[in-house]
Amino acid sequence: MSKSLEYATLEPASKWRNLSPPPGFSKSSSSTRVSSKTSTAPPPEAYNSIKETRAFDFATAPAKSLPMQAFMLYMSGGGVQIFSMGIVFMLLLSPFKNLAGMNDAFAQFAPSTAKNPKAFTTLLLQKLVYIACNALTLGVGLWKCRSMGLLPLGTGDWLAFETRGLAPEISLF
Amino acid sequence: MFRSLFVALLLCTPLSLAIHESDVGVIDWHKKLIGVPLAPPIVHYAVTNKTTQRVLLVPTSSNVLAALNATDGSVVWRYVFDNSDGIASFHVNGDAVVALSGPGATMMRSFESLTGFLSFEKRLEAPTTELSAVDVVFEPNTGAMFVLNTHLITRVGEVQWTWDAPDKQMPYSKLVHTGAALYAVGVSQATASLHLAAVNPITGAQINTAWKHLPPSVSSFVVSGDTVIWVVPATESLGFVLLSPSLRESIRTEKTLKWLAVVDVDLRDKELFVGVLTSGEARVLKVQEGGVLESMHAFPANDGPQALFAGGLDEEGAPYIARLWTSTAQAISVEIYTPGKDVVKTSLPLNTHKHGTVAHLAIDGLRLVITTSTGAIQAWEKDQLVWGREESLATIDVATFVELPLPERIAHVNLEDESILARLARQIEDAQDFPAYAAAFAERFVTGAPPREEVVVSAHDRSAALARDAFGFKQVLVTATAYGSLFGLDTASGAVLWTRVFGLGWAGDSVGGVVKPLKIYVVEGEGESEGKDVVVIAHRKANNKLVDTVLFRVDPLTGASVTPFEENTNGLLEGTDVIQGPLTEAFRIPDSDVIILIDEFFQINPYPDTEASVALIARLASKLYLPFMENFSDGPRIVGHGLKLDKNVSDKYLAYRTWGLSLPAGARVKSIVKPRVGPVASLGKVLGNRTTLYKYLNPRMFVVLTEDTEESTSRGCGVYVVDGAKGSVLYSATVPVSVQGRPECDVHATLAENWLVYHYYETEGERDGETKGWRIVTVELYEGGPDEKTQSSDMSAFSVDSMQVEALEQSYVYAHGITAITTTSTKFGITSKDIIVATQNNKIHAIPRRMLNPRRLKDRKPTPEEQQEELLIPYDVIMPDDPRRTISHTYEVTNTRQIITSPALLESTSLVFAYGLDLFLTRVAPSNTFDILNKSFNKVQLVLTVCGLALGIVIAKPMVRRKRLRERWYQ
Repeated sequence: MSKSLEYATLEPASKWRNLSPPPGFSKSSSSTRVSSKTSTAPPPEAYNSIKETRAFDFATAPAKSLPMQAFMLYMSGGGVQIFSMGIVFMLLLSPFKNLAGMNDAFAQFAPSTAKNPKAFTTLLLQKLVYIACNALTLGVGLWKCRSMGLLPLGTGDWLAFETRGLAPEISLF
Repeated sequence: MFRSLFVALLLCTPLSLAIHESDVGVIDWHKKLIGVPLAPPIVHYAVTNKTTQRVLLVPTSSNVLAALNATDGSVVWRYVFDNSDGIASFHVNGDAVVALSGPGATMMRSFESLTGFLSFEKRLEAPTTELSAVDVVFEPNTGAMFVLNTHLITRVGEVQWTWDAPDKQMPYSKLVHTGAALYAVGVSQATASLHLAAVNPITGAQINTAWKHLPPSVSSFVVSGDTVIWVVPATESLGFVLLSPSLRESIRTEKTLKWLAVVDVDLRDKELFVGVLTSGEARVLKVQEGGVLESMHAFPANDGPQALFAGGLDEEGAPYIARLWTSTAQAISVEIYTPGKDVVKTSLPLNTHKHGTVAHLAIDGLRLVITTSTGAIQAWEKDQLVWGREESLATIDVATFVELPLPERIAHVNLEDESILARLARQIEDAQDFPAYAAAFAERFVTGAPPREEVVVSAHDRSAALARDAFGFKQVLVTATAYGSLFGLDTASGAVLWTRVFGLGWAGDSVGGVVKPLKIYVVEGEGESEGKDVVVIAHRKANNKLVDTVLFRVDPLTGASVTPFEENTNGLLEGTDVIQGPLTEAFRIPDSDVIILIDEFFQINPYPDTEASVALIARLASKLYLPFMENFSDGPRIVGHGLKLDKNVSDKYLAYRTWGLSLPAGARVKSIVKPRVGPVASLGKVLGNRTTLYKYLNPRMFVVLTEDTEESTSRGCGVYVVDGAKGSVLYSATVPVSVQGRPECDVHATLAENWLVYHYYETEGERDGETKGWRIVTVELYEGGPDEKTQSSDMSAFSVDSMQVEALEQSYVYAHGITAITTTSTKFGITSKDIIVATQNNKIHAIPRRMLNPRRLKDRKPTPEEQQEELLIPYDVIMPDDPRRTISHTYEVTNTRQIITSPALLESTSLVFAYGLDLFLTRVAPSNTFDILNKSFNKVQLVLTVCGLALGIVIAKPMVRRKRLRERWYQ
């Protein structure tokens, strides 16, 4: 369970803005200060750029964990055992899981101007990077599969499906 | 060092590598045989510790000298002579058995008669003329012996001398030792003379030689005491002459009775012999002092043509003489005469249709030992059979495995037309076995003991009915022998299920002849039954020189003939004459039960001769190619044949020559090795890097072995793999001529799928570091390099690509010479094949496929992928002679001529049957029994674990539920 920062509260149009403060919290003392600072506070576009950089960070996160995973793969060895198989399955499944939840995951970084935060086109660049990074993870997983001999790449893997007919001439013995 | 260590480690990896001692006698059986007797057994008895041990000493056609226990017929000892060392004669005296053998009968061996221990071996001088006869007499008290060989007499003992006859044109055939002198006696029809020689037995000095005129029709004589007796056929009189050192005694004759023959009954010392009269009467005769023949006893005239005489001494040294004859009513009668006692008359209820006619007779007290024309040895006491041996099993010509049908109960259920009531009744009937089954299951489960009879057939279980067991280990071996008999053997126990004797058809009654089995096939049974039939094709060689081809079709379960149908199996097995003349070759059309028989005019005779089989041949005629060996004036050649129909010549299809295999000058075809046909599980071999070497699976390949006719050039022996449709050579190799003993091509080969293995003797290493010794060569044929494929298995023989073959080959030093080689065969061909060889040291070995992989690496270590995927191991020159690879345990499996294998119903297992002098059957699992649970598998532990886990779940589940509920409250 990863805790994520709820950047949405920063936005001026947030629906949480109109909620009354919890009991015991005085609004007046701070409100003046807040109001004085609102003029110096960055404009919503600045939030957007921060969110964009955060989105980039998120997009490149799979790539950053790669060295660690590669090390784990190296340590797990080449045999087909339960440990190495677990890691390989994780590597193979997580990119697809990530990509399936990509639009939801990036919705929190959507700029305030976005019409539909969950549309694929919002934060397109970051999402493409995210896809690329996940593809990298998948690639590492596949490379591991191949090194374990689990990928049907050679003709030997398809030999069992080859069929032959009867010879046209019959020689009797 | 590393390599051999590596190989040794690899060999250690499979757990059940060798045969377990607990499996011996359970999965295998062994029949120790001696071969068909050549002469009447000689009874020898020795009193040791007040117990009398009786043995029957007998020489056999399998070149064996054997001693059988007279009480139960078991083999006490046997000495197997080498093939080039044929037994010429053997003689028994006291505790010594002396055998003369070899070319010129010069090899003399003396054995202890009760143990078979060799006391001495000696090479004697060879006669300069052609060997005519050998004889041995023993000097009383000294243990010395005199050996007569044609014209030489040798004394073997402390004093040794050799006497050579002055006239070598007069060979001697018998030696007589009296107190006065040693006499050599011979009769020559060419010179019409009886020639005699008297020699001083101590010094070997010649005392005298003489020759006496005889009518030229006299060809044989007997010696009784110091008298030589013969019959003159022209005058039907008896002539005899007394032996004296001066050799001056004159010939006397006895003309009062009409004599037919004189018979030696091995009672020379008792001066007894048998004279047969033309009337059929027989007289026991004794030579009395003064040269008078006295009749001791008269056997009355018998009503049959054949009479056999045998004599012997009882333990007190009293002689007795037995006469056996077969009356016209096929009854066998015996009379035993002992001087001074009543004649014992008895009859033997011997079934001549099961065992043939009596060939030899020996007498052991009141017990008769007979050998029959089909090679059986039987001991009879009065009219009771005490024991019997089927020695013709040592001469098996063809043999085949036959799978048993399903049990009657399962096989005959007609599911479609069965009414509900009938089904209920059947199911209730089936269910009555359930309690027993459940009890057996529970017992099997708890104790881990192997199931009793249904699943694993024990070799000792002879009571089980003839029905298929769960794993198909129980089959019937049908074997046809050179002595015209057919046997059904149980593969589980080796017991003889039934015996039949081939009938002679038209040649039976008056002409006589022999039946020589040539081919054996298993075909689907006729009619509704599920079973299979066995078809034996044989040559019937009548005594009037006519040869016919006869076909016998029998039911393998009972031995009863199917066509012509017979009610019971009491008579002779009569077949159907299929070709009036010899058979050239016979083939079975694949995937059908049609056999085509080619006669001497190359006409195709289908069997069964029905419209359906004619139509099948007509349909396939253009596709069929028949390569076989044909005899030409310069020796046999391999010729390929096609089929055509020419109505002008014959209304049958004719085989016409399409190709001939051209061999280098001087090479001559020795034999054809047929490919081992079986399902092909994989089309290629997958290498470590996932690429594939596609197997060259040309189904028309066969192997031709050649020998060298020109001894001077010594070109060597050829091994050729030939395409049967067009005769092109796909692989060839030349190996040196073996010079062990005499030069000959001693190459053995087997071909399965794309895999050829051959074995030969490397005479001279041609390169440095090569040595003499046996080699085994493995060759695999591929369509090309990795990933190159030509689809050879369904390609036409005339396609351009059909000659694209790449052979991978490697040779290894093998520790033994072999006499037979084959591969294992399994039901689906998935299990890797082992090579099974019969070695010259009387063992059966299995060589694993992995050791014979021609890709074994010579110059580098295998990569991890190659080790993992291909199980590749480094090359090692020596094929390790691992005693754990001996599948014949400690049995002596002698002179194996052929090994046949058959799949069981279990894919992992193959039945192996080796026959030669001995019979041996076992089961092998080349890749271990991967399809049945190991015997040591702990079922109880498994069940207890599962039960424990289930119990844990039952206990933990409510606890977890309660905890969850509590957690919800405090969330």
